[in-house]
Amino acid sequence: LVTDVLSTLTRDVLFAPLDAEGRTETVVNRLRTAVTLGVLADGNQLPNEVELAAQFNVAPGTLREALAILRDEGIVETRRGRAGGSFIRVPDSLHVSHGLAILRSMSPGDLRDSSDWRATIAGSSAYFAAERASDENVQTLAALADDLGTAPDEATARRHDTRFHIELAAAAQSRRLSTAAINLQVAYAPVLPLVYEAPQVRKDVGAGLREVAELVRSGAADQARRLAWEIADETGRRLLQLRAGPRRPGTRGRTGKVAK
Amino acid sequence: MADQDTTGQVVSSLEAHVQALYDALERAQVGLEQALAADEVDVEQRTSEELTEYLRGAFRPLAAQILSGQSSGHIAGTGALVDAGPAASRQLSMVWWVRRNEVVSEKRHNLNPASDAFYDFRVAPWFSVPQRTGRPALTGPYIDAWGLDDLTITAAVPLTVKGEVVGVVALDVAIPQFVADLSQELQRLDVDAAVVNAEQRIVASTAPELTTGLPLTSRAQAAATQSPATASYPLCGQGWALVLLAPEG
Repeated sequence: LVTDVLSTLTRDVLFAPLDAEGRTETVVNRLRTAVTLGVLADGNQLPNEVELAAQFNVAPGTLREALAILRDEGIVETRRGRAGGSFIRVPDSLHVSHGLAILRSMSPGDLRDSSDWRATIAGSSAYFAAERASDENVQTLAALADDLGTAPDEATARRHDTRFHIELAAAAQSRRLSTAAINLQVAYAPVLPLVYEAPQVRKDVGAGLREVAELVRSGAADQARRLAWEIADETGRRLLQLRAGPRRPGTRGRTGKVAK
Repeated sequence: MADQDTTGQVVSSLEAHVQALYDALERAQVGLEQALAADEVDVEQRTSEELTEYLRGAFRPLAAQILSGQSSGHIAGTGALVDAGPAASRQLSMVWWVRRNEVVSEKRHNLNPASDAFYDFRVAPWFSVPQRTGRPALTGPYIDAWGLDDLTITAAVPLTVKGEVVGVVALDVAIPQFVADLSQELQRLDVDAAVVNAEQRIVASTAPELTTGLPLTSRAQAAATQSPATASYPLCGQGWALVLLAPEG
């Protein structure tokens, strides 16, 4: 009996080997994302540097640089001695500061593309879920939407948002949509806390997703697809505006809904 | 119309496939309960880490037996899950093994409630039903998000310590092999037929468009349209049934 340890898909995606030239910045972003998503929890010990470098497929020097940056940010704490090692710390400000760092690392075109993909997954998931969801799926979706609406902070709102979309893909009874939704959690979820800093947005999106759950319940596939798509699209638009920063008077501000 | 003799034989064969899952599960259940009693493990007093460590040692040989035993072709994974402890600090413990390409490996789940990837098994019917009622459960087909991340069927029996249900012993069905074998049984009937679960979701069928995981009728049609089933024969005690399907058109 082999006792190799396999873990969740999220972890597999986050710790997947990097492409040919793994850069310090990429390793920093992966590790920060693992912490913001709770895959590495407060107090967890990191694997030793040699193992971790091999896992990411980067030079040990690159990994050490990345850990030094995370130490300066207060996310990694290194203790010496027999019970020593590198441990995870989660500062309160992490979700927003990491969200901004990831947002700035994406070009507006990348951000638009990722948002379009997320809207596509959400819309298709909603369509198939309306045909195939179990009553239990519907209950979970409704509860997650309500929790998002009343979330006390941006990190909790982000968590309910991603869990809603992954449950929606599961309700569609599709392995490929679920896998796509989980991959998006890693690639896109870190920026979501930025839109959820405003309690009103949490409330509005929560109410919208609750309506998606009700459309799924009643089997209204086309309407469910359209609404899930519109909500994701609106989030994408908010992120593009946040990325652009405050606007000069006389320039295009919030564009509102584009004619369909 | 399928003749009654053949239908009866098919029902028995289908039930035997389901029963084999429970036979494997019950051996593991008895093995683990005996170990917990012999080692006088007080699940209420142990931390989640201590209990997980104990379960890992005690269940490993039972998992190996299930995943390499006689009817193991239908089983993809197995493990034990506990939700116990003082009310104020209830903690979750879980150990799980899977077989992929004939290799058995332990699989770790995320049990941190603050994580986006939290595997909250307490809300899964295959966990909550045995824990609440002390009765076995058979859930799915469903997509196991945060766990297998694939379509699965989960069978579970309660895990009892000192007369109290503290969790479950469960297994995941290897869908491709299990469905192929059930479908082969269904081929013996001279009409299209399906095995459906308690919520009328397809487990296996001979109708080309009714693939595993789909509802027999979609949510929108459920109220409006007549069910395509012309006859239904219950299988085992978990709400599963063999249904014969009307010809299309």
